[in-house]
Amino acid sequence: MVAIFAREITGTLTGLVKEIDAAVGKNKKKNMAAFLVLMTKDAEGSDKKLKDLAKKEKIEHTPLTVFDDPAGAGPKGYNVSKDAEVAVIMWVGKNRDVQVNHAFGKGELNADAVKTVVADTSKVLAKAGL
Amino acid sequence: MRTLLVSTGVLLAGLAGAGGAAKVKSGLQPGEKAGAFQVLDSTGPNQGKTLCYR
Repeated sequence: MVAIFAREITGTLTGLVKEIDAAVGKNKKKNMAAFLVLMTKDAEGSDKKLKDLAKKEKIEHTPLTVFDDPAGAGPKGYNVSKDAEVAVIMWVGKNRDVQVNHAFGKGELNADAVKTVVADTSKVLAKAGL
Repeated sequence: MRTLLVSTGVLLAGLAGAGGAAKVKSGLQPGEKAGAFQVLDSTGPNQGKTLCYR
């Protein structure tokens, strides 16, 4: 499972989601899955933005979701830093053991970072014997 | 004086290295377990539902 946590929709985030979405599409038989969590104070407005984004960018395999986050702290127990604009966590198996964590501050998610994250999906699948 | 300059250079190099290595730490780290949390699905087959993807 690939979970992408983000605080706002940007061009590079969209690029990352599209690349991960393509990887999920290619690896459906390996039960690869992903979802985007937009952590926001405006759940209703974000819901519409994500619907529009999926339609425009043809994101088909990766559910885009909203986490109502008035405090900006992210899901309980996930230790999401307020300095992180984007964080990608990958886990495998029934035990949901985290294998990979990438966190990016404002402006740090760039094309090279996207490549690194996408490459890690293959590594995680291989490590899981898939 | 030379010793002072060399020491200052080493110190600055160390600070630069530390700065370069400093990255945002956020979210669950490798080895930790992903816990449950609820999200609202905006897209996909469960659109409109509140659920946990863990």
